[in-house]
Amino acid sequence: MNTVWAISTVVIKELYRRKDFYVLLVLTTLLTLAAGSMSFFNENTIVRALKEICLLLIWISSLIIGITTAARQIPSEKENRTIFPLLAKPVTRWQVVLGKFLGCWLACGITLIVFYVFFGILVGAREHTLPVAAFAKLMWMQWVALGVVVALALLGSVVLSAPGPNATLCFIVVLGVTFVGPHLGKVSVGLTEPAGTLLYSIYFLIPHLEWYDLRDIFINDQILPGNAACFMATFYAAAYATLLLVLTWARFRRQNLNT
Amino acid sequence: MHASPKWIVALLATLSVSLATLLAPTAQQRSEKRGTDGFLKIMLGDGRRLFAKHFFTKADIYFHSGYYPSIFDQANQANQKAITHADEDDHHDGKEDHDAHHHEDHDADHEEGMDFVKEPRDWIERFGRNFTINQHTHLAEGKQREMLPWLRIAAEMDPQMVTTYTTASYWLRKEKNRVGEARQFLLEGLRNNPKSDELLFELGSLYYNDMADTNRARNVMTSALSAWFARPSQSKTNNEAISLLGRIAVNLARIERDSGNYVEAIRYFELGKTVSPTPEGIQAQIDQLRQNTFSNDVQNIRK
Amino acid sequence: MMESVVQLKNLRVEYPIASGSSVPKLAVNGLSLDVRQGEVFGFLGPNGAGKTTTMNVLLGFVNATGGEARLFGVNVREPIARQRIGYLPELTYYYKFLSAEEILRFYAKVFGIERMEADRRIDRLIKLVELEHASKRPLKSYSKGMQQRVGLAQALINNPDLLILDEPTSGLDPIGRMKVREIIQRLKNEGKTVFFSSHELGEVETVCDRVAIVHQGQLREEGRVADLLAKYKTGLEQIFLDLIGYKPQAIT
Repeated sequence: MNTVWAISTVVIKELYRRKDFYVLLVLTTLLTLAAGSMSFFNENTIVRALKEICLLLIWISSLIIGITTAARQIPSEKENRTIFPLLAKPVTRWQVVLGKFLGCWLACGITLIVFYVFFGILVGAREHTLPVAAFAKLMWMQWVALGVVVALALLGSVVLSAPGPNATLCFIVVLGVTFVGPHLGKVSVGLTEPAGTLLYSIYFLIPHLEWYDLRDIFINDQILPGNAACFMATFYAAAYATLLLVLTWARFRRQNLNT
Repeated sequence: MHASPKWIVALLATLSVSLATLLAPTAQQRSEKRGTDGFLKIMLGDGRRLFAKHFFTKADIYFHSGYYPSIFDQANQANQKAITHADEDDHHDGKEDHDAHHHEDHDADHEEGMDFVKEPRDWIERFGRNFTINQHTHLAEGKQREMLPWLRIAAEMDPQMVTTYTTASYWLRKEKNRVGEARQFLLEGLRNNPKSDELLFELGSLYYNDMADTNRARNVMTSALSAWFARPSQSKTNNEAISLLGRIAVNLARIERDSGNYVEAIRYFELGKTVSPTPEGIQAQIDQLRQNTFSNDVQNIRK
Repeated sequence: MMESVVQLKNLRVEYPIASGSSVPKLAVNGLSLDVRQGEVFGFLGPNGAGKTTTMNVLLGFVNATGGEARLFGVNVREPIARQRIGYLPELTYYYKFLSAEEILRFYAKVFGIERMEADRRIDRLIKLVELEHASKRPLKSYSKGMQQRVGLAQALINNPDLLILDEPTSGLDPIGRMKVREIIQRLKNEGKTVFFSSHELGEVETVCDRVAIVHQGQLREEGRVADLLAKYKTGLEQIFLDLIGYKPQAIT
């Protein structure tokens, strides 16, 4: 576990020593503050639209950070050849995969904490209340979803060696899975065979990331899902991420690395 | 001879400022010629109409507290049953299945239209219900203002989308202290759509109902009626157009009635009756007015 | 009898068929070697001879398609086989955003070295490679020579019994080369085994106990340097050229 932890700390250090995170944080802050400073019909008590804009920016920023960080990990280790001194130590490739995953996921978590602190200040200033428990649930579910996304990007990175196409593909897959995925079941009913069965199977196979997006519930002041449902969703994400990591390892362990 | 860097910097700064002062008026003239289109309009081109539609729907989603059928649910419903949405009130234009200007008194059609939560078909859907909004409530207690930003943005994106102005002005008028903003927004809409009978009607209603300015209301409503008759003949025959004509006529009739011009009022009621789905009600008002006219005439003769 | 540190038996490495070629590329063909504890072993051969591939197999980067490769008697596929080795690649490949100290701490953690012990070793190694003044600066601000010294320090962090060096002096200035040679000598005196590849035959002649010369994936000669010099009655460079079949052409 020491090795996995050591690898993950390098990933975290890398993220916070690059400029991406700060650029996204500043951009999110500026855009939200700009949206907050806008006056619509001289109305200064509007809060839902502001919450929506800020949460959307947080989702986009964390997805960008999660996907781009995970997509470049193994390819950049190969390209910069830092993988060689690392694998020359008593380190298994499974530990590399796990360490990279843990590092990216933890980095996303730290990013989310920073973003949500800003969000909390914003909401607190407008509504004069701070629903900490709701924030925690919202953030936890987003972080859990990012775990699956990071695992997916890592799998992509051992299949496609270039981080750019991998990150783009991951974005498309994640957006498709989130927005179209939940409806594939309904769509499949209206299709002829075998397309119907095929689509229905895809609907079962894809990760259901839409469960983790509680923004609408939070923004519209609805009751957030219960702890049991969140726990089950976390378990599902953990199982899915593990599956993706095992596939990543299975592909990575067979790859020859020539110095 | 060695030039000091300080002097070079000072010289270049002076040169830049001089050039800027020379070029600024020319640039301003050019930008005025280009018109006042905002950055987003230039960037998005015609695609902004799609965004306008999206933001308008967003406002409606807020109104329904997040409860909203997706395009997939709507497609399913369309397959199962053709859902027709009757006008919910006299402000409803009927263009949207779920537009943002609902009253509290929703009719059964609306409730049915929003009822997309059917029996779950599999475990994914059943479990997913924990994370989706299944409650259909409406914004109340002044929280309707939460919709306004999206309507404002929708209008920015597509100034020709008349529904945005009418919807926003309706909600602004609901709060009495926002009548001024509602009027401003409708005037903005009219600047962008000068021939819109809907906007003229909405503005006339505002003058009549919220500002009690009968003269202005009459003028604007009359313009609305003229605008309606100036429509191309093919766009006069649909239900929306007929409904609008009825509302303009009835409102004009009320304005005239309140001003004591009963003959004019009867004329407009007669017009309204020809297009109204409930002509009996209008006929009753005409009869009442005729009665009043008769009484007035009798009183005048006695005098 | 000295412990066998590096053991290769009929090692065979084939690379998959490249596009445009009908036969797989045979990088190593039946190579057998036995390096004993305390030896400084030079692994020589022209470019493309199979040296790097052999080293890659020993380090677990490439899987052998046949034969056997062991480190300290453990199959190289087992990560534990690399517990007692240090590796210095030909070029410096380290995380540029970390400082020398952070890199050494990272590798110390990977080896499971206790924090106190790690601190002690990092101090010692930073002094050994003379980077005290720059140990807290990120590697991206280092010169090539400084980065190579960080490489050497990381290769020694676990106090290895076997040091695998791939062209350790390539790209270094004369002082850097001298420094590397001194360190190799020092390790030899401490009873460590050094397995290194090099094109610098003069250097090999100076520091190595034994050498192996490979060509086209096969072992052409192996033995103590002194024995080879006596056997061929010429310098190591000429022996090397003869064994790989190099024929000088007249310049017209």
